[in-house]
Amino acid sequence: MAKYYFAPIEGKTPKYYWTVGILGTLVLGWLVASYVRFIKGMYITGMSHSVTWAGAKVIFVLFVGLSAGSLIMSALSAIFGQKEYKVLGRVAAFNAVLFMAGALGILITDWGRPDRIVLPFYMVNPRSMLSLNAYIYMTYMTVGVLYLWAQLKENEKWTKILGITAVIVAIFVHSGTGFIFGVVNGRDMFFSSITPLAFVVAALSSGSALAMVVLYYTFKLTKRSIDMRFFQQLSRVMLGLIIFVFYLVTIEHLTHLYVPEAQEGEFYVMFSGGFFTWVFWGMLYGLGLLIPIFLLLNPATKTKIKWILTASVLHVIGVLGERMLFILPGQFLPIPIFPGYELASSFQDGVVMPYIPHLAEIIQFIGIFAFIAFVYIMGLRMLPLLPVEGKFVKEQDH
Amino acid sequence: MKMKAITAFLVFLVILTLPFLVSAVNGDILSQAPQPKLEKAKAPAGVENKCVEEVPYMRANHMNILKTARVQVVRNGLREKYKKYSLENCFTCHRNRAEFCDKCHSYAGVEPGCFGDRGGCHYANTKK
Amino acid sequence: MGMDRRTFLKLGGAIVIGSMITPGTQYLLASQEKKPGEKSKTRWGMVVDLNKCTGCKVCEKVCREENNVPFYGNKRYDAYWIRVANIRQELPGAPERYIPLLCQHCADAPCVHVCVTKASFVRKDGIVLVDEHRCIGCRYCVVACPYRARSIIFRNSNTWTNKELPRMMIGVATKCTFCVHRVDKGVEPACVEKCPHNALTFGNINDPNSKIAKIIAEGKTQVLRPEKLVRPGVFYKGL
Repeated sequence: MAKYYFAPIEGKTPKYYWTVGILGTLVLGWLVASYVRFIKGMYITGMSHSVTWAGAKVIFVLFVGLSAGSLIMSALSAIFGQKEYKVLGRVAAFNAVLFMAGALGILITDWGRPDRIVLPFYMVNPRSMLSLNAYIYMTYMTVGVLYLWAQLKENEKWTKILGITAVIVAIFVHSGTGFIFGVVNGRDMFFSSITPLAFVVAALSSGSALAMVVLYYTFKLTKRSIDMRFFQQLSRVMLGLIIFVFYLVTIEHLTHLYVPEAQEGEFYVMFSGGFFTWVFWGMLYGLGLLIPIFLLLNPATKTKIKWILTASVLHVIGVLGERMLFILPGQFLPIPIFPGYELASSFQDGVVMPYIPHLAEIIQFIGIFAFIAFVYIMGLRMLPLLPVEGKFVKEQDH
Repeated sequence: MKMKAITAFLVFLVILTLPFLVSAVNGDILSQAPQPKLEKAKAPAGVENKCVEEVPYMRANHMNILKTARVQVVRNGLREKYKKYSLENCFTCHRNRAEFCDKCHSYAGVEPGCFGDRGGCHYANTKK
Repeated sequence: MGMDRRTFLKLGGAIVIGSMITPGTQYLLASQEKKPGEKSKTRWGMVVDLNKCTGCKVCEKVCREENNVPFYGNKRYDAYWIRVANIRQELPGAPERYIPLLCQHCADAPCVHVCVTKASFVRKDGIVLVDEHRCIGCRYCVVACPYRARSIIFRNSNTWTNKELPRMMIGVATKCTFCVHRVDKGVEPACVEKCPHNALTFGNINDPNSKIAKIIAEGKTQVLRPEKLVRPGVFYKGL
């Protein structure tokens, strides 16, 4: 059996240098914005006492999901998949490590005191999910890097061992991230045991969607030919996962409609929330779930690469919408401290506080995406991630 | 390739031993360090005019003493027991922060969290 | 190598463990923090008599002056340790009433459970505190609190009315401490002392002879959000 021969890309075109330059500038902007936010304090963001976990947390959760999904996709395709799937293994594993690094970057720069970064590691509170996650994330990063390294070294045995470990750790990572919200008893919109499962499934679906998009455009821009069957097969898997996400999201929102504590918030999200109602019906159900399901079921579009990629991008946007709906309204909707009473105070009790991201935050959000793209294209040039056209390695050569 | 690796290792070694090299070139840099100047306030009647511990011990361990006092007061509420080690008590004698604290701290490049420019929570009774 | 593997591992392990333990030891010294399920003789608590509260907001002002709680004049990020809320029953013609809301000093405080670095903790005498030196500003506690009792210091604060206490630290979570520096001296909290209508009562709940325990024993008090089972230390009378 022939194997792909992997090599770094050349990366000497002006286009490549321009991309590196622009992305590097955006990353620099991220660093500057984070520093300004650290020195000035959090008042330069759009947060308030009602919304203390805002855009940065949304992106953090999305990135952890994309990372876990990418890694699981990578491991499953590299270990159990066909030969065509092996092209995915390295790129997806690299992406997984990158997205986790990006997630940790945006998480830590979102803290009020990022200078105390070492404290969570030696003052562990076993009752706090976030505290345990500090260790789970570090384990995940280590396993992810080792797994990528085993792949780059073409070590079949260790790729298999580390791949299986990585799948288990990735499931832990995203369940743990779901538990951060799922165990909060004080917020009725968060408190739910289905959150970890919903997070893991959405991670898998959005991770495979992202893997397809990244792989297609990487191959296209580096002028490599692609086997379309690979995308068609992976899109079948993704369709099943998207339907599962649809089911989980729907039962969670339906449950909220029947629970008195969360009913008011659910009505707000579904009917009277303005922007968030648009996010719910348009971004999550429309763009994120129904249109991709339609595109992947319709015989006219389900085999065309263009539509598969459209469905993938839309689904990632939909998952972003799901994270927004999950994190933001759960916080800014008034807490029923006095059921049956109208409540008002100077501390914004009983009021819906709007959250509008400010300039420094928006630069941070753009910059963290740029950071991932920047390291990704740098990595393509430095590491043997992509297969070389028409060149194969025989098994016995090895 | 081998040449490159050896050069890199040498550069690493130089960076690693930089503090020792600098002090070897400069001689005894400790004696060149600025000495803190103590403008003592007049001790109130009946109070002994000396520090809570011996001076050399304080010079070496004042940060640990303050940290222990901080933990014991904040977390365990032992306010009376650790009162004499509190920053407020230090400031009764060591009134001039710029002359006494900042001189050494800025020479050594140490910014204390207690009254640094970012935290800055604790220097109410001192001159800045 | 002059060192055999076993020696190397032993030495390395000792160095690693040593470097991990050394910064941690000071926090392990004879901890007086409350262990779960432990009973103590003292538990500080408060009773708020809503029939006496007129909504004058003296407690808000006094609390700011006593604890250096910053006020920036921006409703988005002003910090509050105690605030007086207006409540009105959703019935026609129901009168507007006032209710001081502060940290409830729960025995099973959700903020303490979720704290990443154990910066929030419950003292043996039932007071929930934040060790601002240890807080990393992740704001999990703000999300977890069922009473919205916590504030984040969003901005460098110049408020320094009480020079006995330090200024507020930027970027960390803060909340009502029951004026712990006064309680340790045996003085009541500032809001209790300065309330012009004597609406607040402070004392030891676990001591059956104290004034506060007798009020609670009358059976006319209640806690807020009892369904969350956090066992608050602040009781409301006449809600």
